[in-house]
Amino acid sequence: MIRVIAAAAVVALFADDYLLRFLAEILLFGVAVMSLDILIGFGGLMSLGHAALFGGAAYAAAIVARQWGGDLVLMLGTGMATGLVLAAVMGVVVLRSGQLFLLIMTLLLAQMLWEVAFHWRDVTGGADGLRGLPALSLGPWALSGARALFLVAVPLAVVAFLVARSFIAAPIGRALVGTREEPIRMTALGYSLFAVRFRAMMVAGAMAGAAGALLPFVNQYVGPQSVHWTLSATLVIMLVIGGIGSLWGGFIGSAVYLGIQTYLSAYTDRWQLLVGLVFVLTVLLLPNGVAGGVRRWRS
Amino acid sequence: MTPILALNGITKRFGAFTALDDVGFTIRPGEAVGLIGPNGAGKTTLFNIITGFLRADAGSVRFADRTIDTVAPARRVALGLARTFQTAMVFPGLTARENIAMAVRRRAGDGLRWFGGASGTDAASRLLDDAGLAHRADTLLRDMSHGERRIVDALMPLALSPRVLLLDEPTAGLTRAEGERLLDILRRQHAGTALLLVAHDVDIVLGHCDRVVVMELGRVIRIGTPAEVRDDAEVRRAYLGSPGGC
Ligand SMILES: Nc1ncnc2c1ncn2[C@@H]1O[C@H](COP(=O)(O)OP(=O)(O)O)[C@@H](O)[C@H]1O
Ligand SMILES: [Mg+2]
Repeated sequence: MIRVIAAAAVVALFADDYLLRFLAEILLFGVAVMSLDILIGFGGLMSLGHAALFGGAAYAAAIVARQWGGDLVLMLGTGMATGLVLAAVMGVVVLRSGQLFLLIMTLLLAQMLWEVAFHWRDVTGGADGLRGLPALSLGPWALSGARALFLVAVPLAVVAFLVARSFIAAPIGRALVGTREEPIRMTALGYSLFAVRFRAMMVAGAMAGAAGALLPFVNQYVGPQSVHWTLSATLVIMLVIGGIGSLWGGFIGSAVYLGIQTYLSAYTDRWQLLVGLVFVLTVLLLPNGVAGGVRRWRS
Repeated sequence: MTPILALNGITKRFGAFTALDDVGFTIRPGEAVGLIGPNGAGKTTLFNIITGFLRADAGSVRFADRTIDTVAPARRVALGLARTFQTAMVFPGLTARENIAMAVRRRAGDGLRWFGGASGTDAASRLLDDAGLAHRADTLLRDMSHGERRIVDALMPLALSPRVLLLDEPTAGLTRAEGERLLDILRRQHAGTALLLVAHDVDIVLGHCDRVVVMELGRVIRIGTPAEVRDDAEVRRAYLGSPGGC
């Protein structure tokens, strides 16, 4: 942990604005992927609608910021509240059903949000999205530069990681793993599967929402593709590359994916081919992702 | 004494097939009741109805003087009704201790706590110790032998300290000695828990139970003490096979 903070401090001192903004984006996506890992990796709940929580919070934060300014606490509160509400709706609808239905339902619910974002021009800017956001601020300080954004993203990622780890280690997290391992047994032990899964959904929603709230400030933009199902799929791909069930693998996956996207798309628009190749190689060579590979190499 | 569990007129059809036909009997607190009958007699289906995993087409289940037909399975467990399944239902990716601690926490009302570490490991260790599995406490269930898995499978509902424990062929796949050992553990751990025990090994049932219910093709054909059932001509014909068999 101290090493993480030290590394972040060094980076913050010496990296250029472009890199800092890019790293902040990696961290925000990493938090979103980690929250998805709680559902998929620990709960066995295959969601293809996670972008709705992440991007929905991004929209909510952007809309609120244009109205009332970009206060950090307000933004995080808005993002988490949005993530919680969307996750609650999703949870109530999908969590009583089987795996395939869950996949389809999360996808459809997320696409409904996309429809809203795409067509409700007055509020969301429609296909153009929202630009011209006020700067993020904390009390009297403006957090406008890339460095400030990076220095907000690091503690957010650290806190999110600690919360996720504590959640998984607590009885509720153990129960979540139990519902993945043998749901019928969990019922026969007196656990309500819905109660367990719904709680996981809420944590994931709050976490993805907090990260999503900062995304418009890092990108200086939020558009309908941030709630599109392809972004949900991207989060799953990041999770698989980073390592399902490891939490921190989410940051690796987002770094690999966004790295390829950012640095390769300058040379070729076929960068998704490379992502596909990395994905296939990961599945074949590192079935537990980069995080799993690291774990195996260490032991 | 009023029964802890009372079944009345339980009927269950799967399409045109009647799996259970007017099944009724009672279990008193602390009593061990055996349930025997050939494959397809409806024993597992009856378990599923008692525990709420299936709904009966007719009849009712009373538990501790309360009709529980509309109570969800997880709620029935909270009332004190626990079970095992015909195939072991364990958490393969968790250790033996973690498997049982899951039940211990539920019993303590601590199963959904958000903060702090997972409790229940001490109590789980004690149960494993008692069952002679202390040295396997940190082994993942998927790495355990069939017999060990069966024991953990039975210890889990036991850790709930239920008032009635339904055991669906807990000794299947075990040797006679292993089966006897498992039942000894169960009886020793909880003298106050009533048991409903299904087992293929009739001797185990007759040896461990106060009363025996015999089923055939969805119907109860005999209820009696082990001695009565052993000597019953109809039971012999239906289930125990020729005289001297089993
Ligand atoms: N879900 C089901 N659908 C259709 N038939 C079933 C179902 N479950 C059980 N049966 C039938 O009901 C009968 C009783 O089965 P079961 O309760 O498993 O018997 P036992 O446990 O005594 O061997 C069997 O003939 C079985 O094929
Ligand atoms: Mg059966």
